[in-house]
Amino acid sequence: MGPFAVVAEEKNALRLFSLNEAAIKAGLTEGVALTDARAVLPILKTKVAEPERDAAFLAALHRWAGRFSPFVAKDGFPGAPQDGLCLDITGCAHLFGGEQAMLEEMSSELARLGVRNACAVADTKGAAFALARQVKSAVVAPSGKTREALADLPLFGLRIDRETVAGLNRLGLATIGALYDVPRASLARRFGLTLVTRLDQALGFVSEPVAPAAPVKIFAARMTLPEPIGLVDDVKEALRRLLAQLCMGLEEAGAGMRAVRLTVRRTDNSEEPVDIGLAKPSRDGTMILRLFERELDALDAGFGIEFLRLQARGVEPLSPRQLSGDPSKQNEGALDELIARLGNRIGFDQVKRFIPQESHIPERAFLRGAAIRMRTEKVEWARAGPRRPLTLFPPEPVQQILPGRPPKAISWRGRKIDIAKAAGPERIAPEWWRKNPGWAGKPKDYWRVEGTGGERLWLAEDHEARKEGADWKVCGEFP
Amino acid sequence: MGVKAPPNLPLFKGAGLARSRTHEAFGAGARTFAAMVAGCAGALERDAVVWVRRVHDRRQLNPLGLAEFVDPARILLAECERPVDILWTMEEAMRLGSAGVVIAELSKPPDLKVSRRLQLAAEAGDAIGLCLVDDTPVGNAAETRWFCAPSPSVDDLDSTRWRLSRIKNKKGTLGAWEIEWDAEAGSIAVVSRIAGGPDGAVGGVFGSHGAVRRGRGGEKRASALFPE
Repeated sequence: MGPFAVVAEEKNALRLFSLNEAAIKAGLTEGVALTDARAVLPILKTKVAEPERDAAFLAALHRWAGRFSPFVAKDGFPGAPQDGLCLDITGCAHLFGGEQAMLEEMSSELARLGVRNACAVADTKGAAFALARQVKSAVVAPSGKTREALADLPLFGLRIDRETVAGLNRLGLATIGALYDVPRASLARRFGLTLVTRLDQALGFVSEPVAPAAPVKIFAARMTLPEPIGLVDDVKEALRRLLAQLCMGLEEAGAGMRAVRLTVRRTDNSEEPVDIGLAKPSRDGTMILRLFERELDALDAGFGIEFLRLQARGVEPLSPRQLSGDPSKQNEGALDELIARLGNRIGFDQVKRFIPQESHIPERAFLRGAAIRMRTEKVEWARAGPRRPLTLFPPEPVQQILPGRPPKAISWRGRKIDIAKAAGPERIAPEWWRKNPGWAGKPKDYWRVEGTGGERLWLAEDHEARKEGADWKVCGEFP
Repeated sequence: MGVKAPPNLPLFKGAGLARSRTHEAFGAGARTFAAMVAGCAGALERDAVVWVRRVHDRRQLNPLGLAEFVDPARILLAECERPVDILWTMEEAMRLGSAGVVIAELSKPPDLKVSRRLQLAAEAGDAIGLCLVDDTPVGNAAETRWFCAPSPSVDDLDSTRWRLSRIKNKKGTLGAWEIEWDAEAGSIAVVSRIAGGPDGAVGGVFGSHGAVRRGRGGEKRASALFPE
């Protein structure tokens, strides 16, 4: 394989982020600008780095590493993306025939998976970190000999920032071993406490436990078919079986999913994902199958589907619920299905509910929030206070035909309305603590008026706009 | 053998909305009528109401105004970009049957094909569909059609008096009423019956509204309303 590098944008330039053996042999190093690297090695092939996929891959390795030790944590240089794993193998090594054998198994298995790797075992987390990142092979630091093992390693393995490394290098300190003899107080004074702490952690004077994170559990089910299928009913049956399997897994874990993705692979190796969102975390297979129906009809089977994979996304804890005889609770489940079905077509943000707000500004007294993000508890709508119109619209200036307060006749939307009755004014002041567009910081007087034809309107008197003669506006219609 | 008529959602004495059917309302008070229907739907066992509207419609639906008629918490609002999505949403919401009433604000009245489709969805989910249309209705499959015109209040500005006319009814009579919302009882109160009712007598109540006469499908019906 020829020289290859992954590039990432750093300091306004594309720089080499990761290299393969051939590229390193050709004399390139990480951090070199891509343009320079091209000048050195015109045949260099590159690809842009994808940090999200790197992270996903590390998460997969995290799950894989669980076979060696229950305590696995992701690891990396501070301030940089995580690029390694840290295992606490206390009490695990003998199961694999000792530390050396365990390390070899780990390393060879990774190599078999096609992962270039560097592994190290040491007494402390810091020492193992430094060894693994600088000795590019499997290495075991003998127990109690950490000091010697680290002595010749360059400084950056101590997980300290580049400025500190550069500063130490200027003083002629290039290896970790060189720090052993320097008085600690002067190190701390000059470079801060972090350096000393990192050194102590590496040498085991300060404890540093592995903080294991449970690997993110993936709920998925797959099915490979001996013969490609193409009929909607067949795909539906396959999906039903996959859903049953997936939902059983979720039930065992006490979890529900917010979305589910079905990936189908056709005989020509093309893949098509089908995504379905749900209104609430759920593991109700029959309901989810119904949501898939419309999508399955639109699915193009091509020359036949030979592989299906179903993955739960947005997995959240979901405790089992008591079946209740309360019909309103059952209705709630039906509404969830409705929200999911509508949301999958018009967007979950467009299926809304009204939320009351603490504000007396008419257009600010309520919000329309996505129904899936609303909690289910009942919201109370206060019915006290002055009446509010059923329909609100942005203020529409009206022409006064017979002036008055309120006007005796207006022309609105091309119609003349003689005002027969009026009630008001109701003075509403803007909220001084925030900007209110259209209010100009001054209160407005609202009038309820009724035309002789029965039109019930909400008029606002905007004192600010009096000069332009646009001080009366229609803001809404009463029922 | 006759098909058994589905039960009604009673609105007031002498009128109701047939379940498993779509209905249509137009006129200045169409929204108010819809709010009243939503309020009456509290009596249904599925009391949720889906209200479908255009997302860019300037005419905001104000829940504080709506609260007079119906608890806004019962309303599920679906806002669509395209008119075709409004129809899809309405159809799907009715077909699923988890909401008792589905109200859709349409700019254009549905034609025969569209309204028939909506009608089938309403039957599948045993839901009541109510289309609020801006324009003059055309002949379509709606079960009933209501025209809601403003009516001046008598003494109190707080009144919610409207003149409601049923100008199309597939299985029953036409009629016109002066109605008001009775907030205490949570139902529509009839102030006076202008015309129609069980005896089927219809008076000329639409004289001032040319809208009815212009309608294509309504032509015959409208001429029947105005005995020359």
